[in-house]
Amino acid sequence: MFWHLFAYRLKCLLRNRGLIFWTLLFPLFMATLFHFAFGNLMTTGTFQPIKVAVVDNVAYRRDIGLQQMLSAISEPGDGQLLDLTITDPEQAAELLEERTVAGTILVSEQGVALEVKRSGLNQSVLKAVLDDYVQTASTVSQILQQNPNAAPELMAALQQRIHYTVEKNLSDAEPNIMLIMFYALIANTCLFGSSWGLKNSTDTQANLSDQGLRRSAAPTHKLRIILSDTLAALVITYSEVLILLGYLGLVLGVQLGNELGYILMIALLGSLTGVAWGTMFGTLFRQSEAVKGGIITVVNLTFSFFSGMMFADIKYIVDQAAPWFSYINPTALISDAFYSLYIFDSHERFFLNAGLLGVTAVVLSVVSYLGLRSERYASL
Amino acid sequence: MPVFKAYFKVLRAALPGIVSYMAIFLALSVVFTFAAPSSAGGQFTQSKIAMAVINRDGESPVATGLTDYLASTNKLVDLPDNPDQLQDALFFRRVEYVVIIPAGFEAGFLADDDVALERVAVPGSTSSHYVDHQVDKYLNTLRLHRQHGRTANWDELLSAVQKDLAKETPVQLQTASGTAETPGFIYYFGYLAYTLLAVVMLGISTIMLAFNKPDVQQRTACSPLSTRRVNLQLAVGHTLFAVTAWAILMAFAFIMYGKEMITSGGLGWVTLNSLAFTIVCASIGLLVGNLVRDHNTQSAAVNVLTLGMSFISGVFVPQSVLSPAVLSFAKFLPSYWYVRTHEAIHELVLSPLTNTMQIAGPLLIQLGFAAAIFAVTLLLSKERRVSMS
Amino acid sequence: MLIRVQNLVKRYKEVLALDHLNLEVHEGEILGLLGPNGSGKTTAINCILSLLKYDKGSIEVFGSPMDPDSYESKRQIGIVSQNIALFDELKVEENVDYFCGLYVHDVATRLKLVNEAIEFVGLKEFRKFYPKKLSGGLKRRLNIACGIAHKPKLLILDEPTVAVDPQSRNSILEGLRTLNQQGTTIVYTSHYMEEVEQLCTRIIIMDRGKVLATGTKDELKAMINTGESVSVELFALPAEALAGVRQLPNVSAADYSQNRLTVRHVGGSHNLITLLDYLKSQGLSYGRVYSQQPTLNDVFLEITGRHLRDAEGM
Repeated sequence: MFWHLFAYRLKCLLRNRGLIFWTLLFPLFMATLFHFAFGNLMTTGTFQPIKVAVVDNVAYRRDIGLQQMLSAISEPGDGQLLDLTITDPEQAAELLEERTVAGTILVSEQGVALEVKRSGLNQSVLKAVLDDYVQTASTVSQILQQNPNAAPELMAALQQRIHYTVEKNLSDAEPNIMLIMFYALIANTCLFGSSWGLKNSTDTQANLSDQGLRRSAAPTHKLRIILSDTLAALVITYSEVLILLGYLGLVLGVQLGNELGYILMIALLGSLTGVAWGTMFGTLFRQSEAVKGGIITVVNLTFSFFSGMMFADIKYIVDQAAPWFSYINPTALISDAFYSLYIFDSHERFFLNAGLLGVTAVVLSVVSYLGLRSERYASL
Repeated sequence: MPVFKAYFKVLRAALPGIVSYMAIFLALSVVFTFAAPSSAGGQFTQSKIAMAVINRDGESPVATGLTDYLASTNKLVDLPDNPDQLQDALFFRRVEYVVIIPAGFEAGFLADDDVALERVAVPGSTSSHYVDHQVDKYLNTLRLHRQHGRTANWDELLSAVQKDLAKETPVQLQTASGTAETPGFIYYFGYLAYTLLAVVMLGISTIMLAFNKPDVQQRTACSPLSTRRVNLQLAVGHTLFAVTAWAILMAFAFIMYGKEMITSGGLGWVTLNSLAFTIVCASIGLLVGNLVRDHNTQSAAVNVLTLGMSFISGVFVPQSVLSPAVLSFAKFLPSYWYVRTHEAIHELVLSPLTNTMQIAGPLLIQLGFAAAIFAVTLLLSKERRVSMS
Repeated sequence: MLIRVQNLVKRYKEVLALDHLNLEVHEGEILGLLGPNGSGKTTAINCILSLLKYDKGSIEVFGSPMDPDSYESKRQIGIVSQNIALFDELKVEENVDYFCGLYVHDVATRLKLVNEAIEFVGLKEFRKFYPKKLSGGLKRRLNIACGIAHKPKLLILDEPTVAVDPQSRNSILEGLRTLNQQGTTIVYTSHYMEEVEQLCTRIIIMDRGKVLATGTKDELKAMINTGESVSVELFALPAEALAGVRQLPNVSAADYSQNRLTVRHVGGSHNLITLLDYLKSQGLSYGRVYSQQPTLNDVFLEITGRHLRDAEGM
């Protein structure tokens, strides 16, 4: 009996090509686009030596110290900071105009100067490098004033510049903000389950559809119909989310963390929340399915926007300014759960998200059931 | 003009969609324009990195000195010494760099031991190199003074270091030609591609869907109006609609960025470019309207095409971050050439010496795309009329 | 007694949809619920099926009170609703199997029942079709198949023939008669009086939420003053002969104008022969003769002062 209800419901829902497109193909398409657009942003460690032009003049040729310093940090290899082009003033000006180089180093009687076209990070690095040179000169002159005998050993000490910082990772996770958009997309796909829930509620209630009327007049316990319908919707939504997760993780190489059990759990909770949310919304209002579908889409997209699907930074802004909103926004709960799984070693925040999501799913389901259960309607 | 009149009645069905696309775009433009930091004009400003110092070495002079120095050159953010919160802040770029001064660092430093600070940052990022350089500079300078100088106490030592690090290289910011910073309207017209595509495509395909319904088409065919006249009236309708949509978006650009559009010399080019792209959008709208059969497919097609073309062509993210493979595919999309034209205009605005052929070339390619898509659409609809009769 | 409805009152805000409705359905009959749109037929059925809340009254089905969870009673009922209640995503046979499966759990039994129902409504060649591909009449037949497949004891049909072509309509009525002969009690609502006259063994006329009259069609017709009406073409009719006609048994009224004598009767039999005999006896020669039996519309008109069809869309 249950199998009969469930199997036919599954058939009914799966044959709805429009909904399959929006709930499965569209998220896969968006994931692909995200991948194409952010794929290169995802791979970090892309520091490129900064291109700089040096005007080749008498003053520069005379400044051996500067030449040594510049060539030391332009040495190809791990520590390379600069990519030097030593050239005549005209070409240097042209390179700067074309923005081929970030800046031009010009040595004159007054000392070393930098010419740039804008204030940017690369220009700041150039300035820091040149500052280093004049600052070192200042250090040397200060020390030699105090201790003229130090000259030989000071020169030797200058040669060895110690690196004082070592790389440390708080966890294995790469802090890549673009991941937020993918996580929000997963969450959004969970919430797309609401389309199936909405369809279920329409087909279950006698006051919403003729199919609902026919099913209400049948000798089948309402709870059975609700459970089998919901299970069918859940199976479909969960499968869609898993397909998306598989595609993201295995094909596109989006990092989801390694804890498969937790990932499957949060995807299931998310799918259930999506289905229940659509069911509840469909149950509470009597507008046409098209109108309700439109409202649900707008609400879902708003949820997704605030969990960072369009601009990843929004999530952090909301978390800082109005954390309560993230607690009631199911999309934020799901995407934050994925984020916590990936980024944190401890599971506190993951369980907070999962717990809140569970509460949301239960509340939505209970309200849906109260609306759908066997009863006489005030009007049909 | 019966067809023409019906045109705008049918268009009402697409109005909610069109209005929301425009409203959201304009609202976001306003928000981002006002939220954007205003650049200090004329003066070079050194970049400050948002960073945090986690000091586990107490009130030691070395730690304090370093922290003070980094506070003067960067933007220090207070963060607790808690890995989750540090990770969270790093992930969302609230800080780009965290330096941890371990307990006992000063003692080791003074004993000339091999000591190191822990740095958490986006590996290999420019900002990480930048701050690394500052940290190394401070500590190396301190080391040189301590080992070789003759300063009497900590205060003297630190002030000697401070004196060194206050030395600066003069920087000349050349702004003689062009604008130094990208003006707001460049961003506006960059994202405009998405909105134009969505709005014009949605409107025109809705009309074509309605007029291509078999019974409507048969009824029109039975009317005394010749097919040519019907198509002519439709074409006038499409033109009027597309130009209106474009004009509204132009008007908003003018309201928000009118002055800088004129002074930067970009006005003429962005007008031409967006108008050319409007023609492209209209041609795609016609094609889609002739291919789809129902509203469900239509909205799927409109969404997939607008989002797909925008992402792949570099509307949402700059073309420079797209992979070569994606870009070589994108060359087959007219939106790619809109972005190319737009980037050339961007260059021109920044340095007026830019060769205008760099703008005109991709602009003409867009028109070529429009012509080709129109031709395909015409062929398709003719074929269909023949198959119907 | 399969259904007993007593003093049923249903209000929609200001509107009194059912006004102390009393109604009984007997085993083996085909009961016609006749009334204009808005008279409360569908509301009454939905109350009986326990789909609608009502304000007062009691409903018993198969001898026990009807509630939303009266599954044993529901199992014996088949319904064919006014609107087509099918799943567009399911093929013809899947639709029938699905709805039948809500009543019959045994797969083998169900297979047989589904085949019978599909054959019964003549959709054998359309088994694999989706409803969208069916014409309006075929869709209606499928709608009926979904309501009857489980062989209910009591079948309730709510205007099942709206917008159906004459062929489909006849085949539907034919089929219902067969079902009834096989022992199914049928409740049939309609505002097409011809259908009800043709099919039903007992008729209830409803208007404004009330039962106005109950009986077989002959009983109903007998209830009203309007009886058989006879028209005779006559070239001349003397005044005394007209007075004589008025004196004949069962005659309620007689008029002569434009060479035509119109006589209305109240009940009785052999009225026509009596009239013609009288005219012959008076030496009057007559032309064509028309006789018209009263229709349910006459009954309805008599009781309510309104035509059945006129009330449509109320």
